[in-house]
Amino acid sequence: MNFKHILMAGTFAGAALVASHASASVLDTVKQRGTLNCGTDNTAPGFGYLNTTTGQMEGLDVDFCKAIAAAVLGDASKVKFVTVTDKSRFDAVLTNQVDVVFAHTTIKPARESSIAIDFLPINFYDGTGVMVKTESGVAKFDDLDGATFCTTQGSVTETVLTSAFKARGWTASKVLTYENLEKLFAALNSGRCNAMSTDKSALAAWAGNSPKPADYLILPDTLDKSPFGGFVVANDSRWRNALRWSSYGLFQAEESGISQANLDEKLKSEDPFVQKFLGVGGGYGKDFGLPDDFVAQAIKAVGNYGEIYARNLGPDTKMFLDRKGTPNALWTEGGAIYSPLWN
Amino acid sequence: MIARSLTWSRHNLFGKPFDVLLSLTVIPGTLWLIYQAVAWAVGMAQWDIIPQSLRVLMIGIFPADQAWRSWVAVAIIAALLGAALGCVFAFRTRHAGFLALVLAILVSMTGVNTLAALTAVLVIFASAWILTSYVPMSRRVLIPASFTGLIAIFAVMSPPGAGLWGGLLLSVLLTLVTAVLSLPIGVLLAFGRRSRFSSLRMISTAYIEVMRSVPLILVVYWIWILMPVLTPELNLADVVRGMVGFTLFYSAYVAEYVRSGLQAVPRGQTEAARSLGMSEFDINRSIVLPQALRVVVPPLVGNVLDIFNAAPLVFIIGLTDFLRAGQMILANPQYGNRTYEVYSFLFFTYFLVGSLITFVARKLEAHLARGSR
Repeated sequence: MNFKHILMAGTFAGAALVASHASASVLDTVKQRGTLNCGTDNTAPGFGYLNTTTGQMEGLDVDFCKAIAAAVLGDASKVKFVTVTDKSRFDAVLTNQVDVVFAHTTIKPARESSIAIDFLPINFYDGTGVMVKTESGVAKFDDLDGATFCTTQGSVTETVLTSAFKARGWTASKVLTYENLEKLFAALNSGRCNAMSTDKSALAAWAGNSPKPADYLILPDTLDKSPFGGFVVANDSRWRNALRWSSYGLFQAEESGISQANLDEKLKSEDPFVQKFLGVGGGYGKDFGLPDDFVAQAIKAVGNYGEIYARNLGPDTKMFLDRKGTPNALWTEGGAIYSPLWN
Repeated sequence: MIARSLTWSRHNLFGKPFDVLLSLTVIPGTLWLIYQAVAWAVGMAQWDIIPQSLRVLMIGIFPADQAWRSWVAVAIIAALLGAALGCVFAFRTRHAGFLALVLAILVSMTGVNTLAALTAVLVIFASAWILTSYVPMSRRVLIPASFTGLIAIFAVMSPPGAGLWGGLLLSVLLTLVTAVLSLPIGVLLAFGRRSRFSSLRMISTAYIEVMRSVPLILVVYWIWILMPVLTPELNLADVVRGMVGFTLFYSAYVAEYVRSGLQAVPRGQTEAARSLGMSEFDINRSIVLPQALRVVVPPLVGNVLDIFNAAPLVFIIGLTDFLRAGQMILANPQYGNRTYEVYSFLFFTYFLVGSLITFVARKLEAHLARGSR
């Protein structure tokens, strides 16, 4: 391939990208193909990673892929996991190599405005948090004036911390950086740092996996928001709407008390809303180009949002992330997991 | 004996003041490092993670019930490597003992349930080695056999989905495919660069220069993005596109090695052939190329090592090669504290494969030098 060829190839690529927008919806392609190509990470604990004992992919993002496959194709096993990295995830969607990506991607305006993608509803709220030792008596971030903070090298957290210091006029506080979380945690234990700062999901996992979890306190403050959402190629409303409402279906199912365990029972329910929601005798699916029982299929495959969360991130897992009092709780319990009105 | 070693160390280690200084700092330092490493490996390291996750390290997320397919692929690779080895390095009876030792080490690491399969693989390896060592005729079919072997590997590994290939097997396959395919392309490019037709010369030169002046990771990523857009109906798997990228890139390097070999062939050779009335094609095929390849075989084997060591770059297009498989295991929160164990295992495996390739390269060099002495 000489230079001229590269130029030509580039032109073709541009033309094909434009052409692909005019062609049919991804929804039709997926149904015709019979499998869903879902982009996930394979090195993100709790979100997308390989369980080496079972040889299966697991995680919140992985379960969302399965839910979408169940909703669109009626079978959660018809999902093909394509590994994407932080670098390749957007190109993978833009070149139609994957139909949707769930890869703990932070929703930011620049990502929707300058990359041709559309985000799906937020499926996890992460953020920069601070953890201290319980014996220090610190209860909130503002108690930490003059303290030494530790974080990982080259992360955004360092910037977040220094701007938080500036905003509060703290001059004595300083930031130390370590090369990985293991060393960071050791520094907190040895007293070289008064506080350890990184993503809240990681803080919970480190405290929870330690010998005495009660020795650590994750402060309620969130210094920097980081909401995660899946995404699809831009300008394909049919596909995006089908996926958005499949996601909302998982939220609504939890709110309405429909779970994997009681699904069979709920399918016989006399409640007209539950009937319509689960697609018994006509439902919401047809207008999206989905089967009427798409929500029921998704619940059958992976359960409602609460069950997905508990299985992958909850206190019974190695991630030790309690939903209570965080935005990841259902809105009825003071959180931010909210589905719009269905009927 | 003691007196001899004392003399040896006085001459080699404590000969001059500077030597004394160097020896006194380096020797205790090295011993201390070795002591620390051994103390950790024996006392503190929890090696149970390696046998537990060995399957993932070797074949990635390839389904366990389809594992026989990967064994067939490994057997084919073993046969090809054995056959290639036999061409330059004759099999002797003492090598059988060495192979038995390798088998014992591998079985002790992986458990007895792989005994039958590992034995079969090593027997195939030894048979191919013996065959090409003592039946020179069989060496002629090596090149067609390697292409057939690669096609057979693809045929047997594809049914569960090429997207599932991973682990060390993926790294080795990527290296083999790239090494085998880049050779003919590289030879053609090398001739193209010396061609009398200026268009051919310019295209070949431009190709080689462009590929050599961009990083490998860029080429791989470009091919990965461009191929589905250029050929949507082909729908090639990520792993195939990775191989295409590697082959396109390394062909340029092979071309430069081959060109240096072509230039090393004395002009008298072509002139003599021409005066005998041979055609240009025959001169290149029977006179120039064999002599050129003889010169460049050692650097070409070194190139194989380069390819193997660059293979982890395919993580950028979402492939799970050997290194990434190790990282994937560490991502599991339950294994978060086994970083050093996994990376030590990766280090030793890479070191072992790398030193095997350099060993073969050294033997090859010695073997080829015999003819020209």
